[in-house]
Amino acid sequence: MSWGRNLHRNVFFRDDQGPDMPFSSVDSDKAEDLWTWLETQRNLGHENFAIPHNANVSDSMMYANTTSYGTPISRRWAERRARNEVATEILQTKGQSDTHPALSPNDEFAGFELFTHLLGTGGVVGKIDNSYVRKALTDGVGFQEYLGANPFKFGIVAGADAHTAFSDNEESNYTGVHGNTDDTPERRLSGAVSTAGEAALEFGTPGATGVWAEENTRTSIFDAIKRKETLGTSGPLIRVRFFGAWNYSNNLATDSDFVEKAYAGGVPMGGDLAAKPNNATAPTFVVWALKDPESGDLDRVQIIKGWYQDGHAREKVYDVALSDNRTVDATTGKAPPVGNTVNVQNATYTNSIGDSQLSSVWTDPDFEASQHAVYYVRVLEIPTPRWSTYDAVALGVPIPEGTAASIQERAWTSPIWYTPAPDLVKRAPFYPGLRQIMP
Amino acid sequence: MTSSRLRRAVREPLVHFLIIGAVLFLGYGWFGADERSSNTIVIGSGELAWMDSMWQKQWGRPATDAEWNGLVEEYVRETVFYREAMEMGLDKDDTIIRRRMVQKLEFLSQDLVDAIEPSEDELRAYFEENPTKYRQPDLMTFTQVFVDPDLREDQTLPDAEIIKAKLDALGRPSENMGRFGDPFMLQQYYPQRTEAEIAKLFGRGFVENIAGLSTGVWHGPVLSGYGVHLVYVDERIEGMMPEFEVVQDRVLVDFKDGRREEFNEKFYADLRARYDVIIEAESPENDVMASGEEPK
Repeated sequence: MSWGRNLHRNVFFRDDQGPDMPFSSVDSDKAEDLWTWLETQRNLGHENFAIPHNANVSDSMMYANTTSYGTPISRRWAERRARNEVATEILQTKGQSDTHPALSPNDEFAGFELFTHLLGTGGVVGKIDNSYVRKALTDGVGFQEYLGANPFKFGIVAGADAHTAFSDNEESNYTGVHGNTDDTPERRLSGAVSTAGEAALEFGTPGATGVWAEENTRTSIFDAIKRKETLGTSGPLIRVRFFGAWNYSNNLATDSDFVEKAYAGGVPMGGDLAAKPNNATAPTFVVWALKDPESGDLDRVQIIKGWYQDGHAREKVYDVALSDNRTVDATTGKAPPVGNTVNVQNATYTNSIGDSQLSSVWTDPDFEASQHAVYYVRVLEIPTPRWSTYDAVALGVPIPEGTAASIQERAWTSPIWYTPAPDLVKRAPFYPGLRQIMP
Repeated sequence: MTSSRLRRAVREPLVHFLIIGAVLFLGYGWFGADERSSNTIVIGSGELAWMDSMWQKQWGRPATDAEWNGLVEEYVRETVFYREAMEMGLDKDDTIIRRRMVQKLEFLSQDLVDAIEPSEDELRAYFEENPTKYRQPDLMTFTQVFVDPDLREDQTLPDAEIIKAKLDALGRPSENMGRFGDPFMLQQYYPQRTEAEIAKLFGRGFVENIAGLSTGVWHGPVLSGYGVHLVYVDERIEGMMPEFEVVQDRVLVDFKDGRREEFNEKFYADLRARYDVIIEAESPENDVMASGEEPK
C-alpha cells in the first residue's frame, strides 16, 4: 500500500509448508518484484498464486494499463501477470470492485456497495479508471488483440477482509469487521468517521467465494482456483454454473445430465472457447443459478460482455434469465424491476417474488468473429434489507440518511474468453482505451 | 566590625538576590548537563547484538555494510522521534498506547500460566467433563427429490403427492432418480453428511424438518428455502465419542485456554480490588443519532 492506495495481493500456496519468509512491501512495492519472488518460490517447489485485493481503492493502479514503472505493457509482462495473478477479488467488506456507475453508465445495478475513498487518507476519493474488474477484463481482451497476450486473464473470487475472525456474511447477522469500532449497532450507525476517514456505515458484509472443486481439500480447491472455476458473491451462498461452447442444445439447462453434457460439449467458467468451427455463427452459453436457501430469491441472471472495437473498450449487460415469467422489453432493452418486498419498519422481506433457481441457454446476438471478447455472469437476488436496516430496527431509530434501506445481493462468475483465430484478427491502428499506439 | 558588616550584608536584599541567582546558575548548569546527556543516543553492544539477531532471524544472513548502516540509522531515527514524542507527552491519553500497555501486561501474565504443563490425569478429567466438545457429529444418509414451486405454482403440493405415490411404490431409492421431480442443481443422494453440511446445502429449516424423519420410507412434502422436497432417509449414524489419545492435542489446547481464561479473570479481579473507582457522571445514553441530528 502506498499513500492509501491498496495494491495488496493475497498469496496462496498449494502445499502446507510454504516459504520460510513472506514477501512484504518492505521488500518492494512493485508487483513485478512480487512475481519474481512467486516464480522463485514455484521453482523451489512451493506452487502458488496471488490474488489482487480491494482494487476499488487502488486509485486506478491495480489494473493500470502500464507497468508499475509507468512503462508500456509488453507481451512478456502480460504473460507474467496472467500466470502469477490467476484470480481477483470482486467484493469485500470495503466495497465491490465489479464496476462503478461512471464506468458503466448503462448498467442500472452498478451502484451497489461503493467504497471509493482511499485508505487512511481522511476520505480522499480515489481515481476510478483502472480500479475495477469489468474494465480490466475488457482491457485484457484489448491487450490480447494488441499484444497477443492478456495481462488481466483472471478468475473471480470474493473476500472478507474482516479483522474479527467472524464470517458474518449475512446481512441479518452482521457484527462488524473492525472489532471495537463497529461491534455494536450503536457504533455502526453512529455515523462517526475514524481519523482515517472510514465510517462503519460504508462497510458491507463480507463476501463469499464459490469453487467448483472435485473434493474439499486444499490441493483440489487450489487447483480449481488456478483453473478459474470460481465465483464470488456479496455474501449469500449463491451457486452458479456457467459453460460456453459453439453447439449446446437449447434444452441443456433442463437436462438431468446437465453438468456432464456441459463439460463434455464446452468449457466451464474460467475457460477459453475452443476455436470457432466454420459452421458456427456465435458462441452459446449455458448458465444455471441456485439461490442461497437462507437468503432472498433470485431476480435475474445476466451475462456481461466486454470487447474491443476499433481500439475502444465496449461492454454490454444482457438479461438472460428473469424470474416470475418477466421478459425484456423489446424497445427499451430493459426488464421490468422484480419489485421490492422489504418492510423497512421490521427489516423483513418475503420470497413471494423471485425464483429459487434460474437457468438459460443464451447465444450472443452481437457476436463478431473478429473481435476478442470476454463473458461473465452476474446473478442478482431480489431486494433484501441491508445490515444497517436490521441495526436501525434493533435500535428503533431511522435508517441513516444516504444509506440504502435494501440491496440486491449478487454473485459474479469467472469469465469465459473468446480469442479469434489469427487470420480473423483485425487490429486497430490506435488503442486510445489502452493508451497504446501500434508500434 | 567585620561581623557587623557581614550581618548587615546578610540582611541586604541585593545579596539575597545574588545568592539566589548563583544557586539558580549552578542549578541550571547541572540541569543543563543533564539535558546534554539526554540528547545523547548511545548505541551499545547490546543494541547492536539485538539488531543483528533480528536481522538474521528475518533474512537468514548477516546484513551487508549498506544494510547495516541503514539499520543503525533507522534505529537512531526511531529513537530521536520516540524521545521527542515522549517529551511532548504524546503517549498520554492515547487509546492505542493504552491498549498496547494493557496487552503487554496481559502477555506477561499469560506467560506465567502457559508455563505450567498439565498432567495427563488433569487432561483426562477435562476430556471426561466436556464430552460435547469431542463427540463426533451425527451423520445422515438421504435422498431428496425436488418439486419446484416456481414451475408448478398452485399445483406444487398436489403434484408432490402424486410424485410421492410413485416413490412409495418404488421404495428404496435406486440409480437414476433424475426421472422423478424437477431439475435441481444439488445432488439427489447425499451419503453421510453432518447437520452443518446439510444446512449449508439446503438451509437450517430443512435440517430441522428432516431431523425426526424415520428411516426407510419416503416423507414429504418437506420444505426448504428452495421449495418442496420428498425425502428418504437411509440411515443415521450417531456420532462416536473418540478415544482420549486421538484428541489429546486438542484437549491440551482447550484445557490451557480454559485455565488461561480463569487465571486472567482472577488476575484482573485481584488488581481491580486494589483500586477505588469513582465514576463522576452518568455515561452518555446509548442513543444512536440519525445523521443530521445534533449530538446531545
